[in-house]
Amino acid sequence: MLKFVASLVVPVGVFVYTVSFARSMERKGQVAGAVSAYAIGSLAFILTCMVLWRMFM
Amino acid sequence: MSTQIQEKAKVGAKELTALMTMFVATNAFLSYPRYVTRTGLEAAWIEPLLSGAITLLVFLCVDSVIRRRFLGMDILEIAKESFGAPIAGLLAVLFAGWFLANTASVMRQFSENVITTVLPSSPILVIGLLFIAVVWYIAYTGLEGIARASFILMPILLIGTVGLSLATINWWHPLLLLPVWGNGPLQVLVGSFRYSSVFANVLLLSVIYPHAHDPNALRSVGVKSIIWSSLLLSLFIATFHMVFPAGESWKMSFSLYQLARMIDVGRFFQRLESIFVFLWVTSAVIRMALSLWAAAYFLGSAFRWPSFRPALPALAMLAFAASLMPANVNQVVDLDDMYLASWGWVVVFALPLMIVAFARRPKRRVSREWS
Repeated sequence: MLKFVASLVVPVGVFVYTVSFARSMERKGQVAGAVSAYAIGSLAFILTCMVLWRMFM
Repeated sequence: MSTQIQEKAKVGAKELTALMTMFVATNAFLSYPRYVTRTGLEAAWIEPLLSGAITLLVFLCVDSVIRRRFLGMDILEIAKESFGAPIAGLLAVLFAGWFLANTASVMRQFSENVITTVLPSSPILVIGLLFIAVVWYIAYTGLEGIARASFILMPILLIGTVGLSLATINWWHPLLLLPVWGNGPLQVLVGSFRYSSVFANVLLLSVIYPHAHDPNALRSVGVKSIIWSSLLLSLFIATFHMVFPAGESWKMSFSLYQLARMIDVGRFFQRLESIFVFLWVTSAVIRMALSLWAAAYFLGSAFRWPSFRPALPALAMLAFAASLMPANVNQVVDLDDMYLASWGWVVVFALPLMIVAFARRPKRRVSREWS
């Protein structure tokens, strides 16, 4: 469990960074850009969590 | 559409030729020799030449239409202008998905190759993370950075393929290339068409158009890179089959490594595979960086991102996670063969051809320095 949590540091960082990118576009009124960035960030995070879960748990 | 992307690099013809050649020729290090050997047997070396000829034909068609009707526009701008933003967005997602899947497949195959050859005790997570960090950094520098890096690293690719092929000269048995037509002309032709997607130049060049320092030189970039890469692939496969019989060699997953292990030219020039592995990895990193850049560029253009760079970490992580989804490397090769290699021609040939064939002439003229 500890290994799994430790391995999540990078994915969480990338997710937070992508979400902030999406929010910056949202503030500028670029809805399509923001939605696509949210989708890519979430997809990458979920897939990485799945892979790491399978690897460490 | 892509004017939204601020990073409008201007890349020279030499750098683009090196980049395109490297992108295609890197397939010699992957499963391509295995695929073409299975379909063509002894005639597998002919398949890259035929695939190259098909690619050249498609490239010249797309290039001539773009020059005549869509000066200075890339393939997504043409799609948006003619079919509207939703369809262009859908096409961009498809192209980006193909490039991301390609990055994931190459990453897993190379990670496994590195582990089985030089770093047997290292976990795949560590190898993959190192790979993805380097690929992300090179992709972050943009097209100009990738192209310049590939121009500098081009000799490495040449040493990695031509040097290796020549170093096994004492093992060559030219009679192993007979019968000339291997599995038969029809099988060779079918294999050439089926695996022609390794030449992704058509799609990549149709994206790179607005980035070229001299857009008039792009035709020569396309022609030269297609000819060079098909010759390199053909030379390598012919050498491979002169050393290993075709009937057996289609079962080998890392053909270049098997060939490198055979080098035995005197007492001090043997067992050089560990050096070659690093040469191949360097070329693979450039290839993955370009495919990651292409994925980010397509998505950024379609969804009007101000820059593609902030999305690179997420896309790199997505490719990394996707590369680790299959249970083992055999599953990766099977998936790659079944979907990416066998149906890739739809994405890299058919879609660009259909876009330029059915696109309407743009109402406004795009002003660029095209003569």
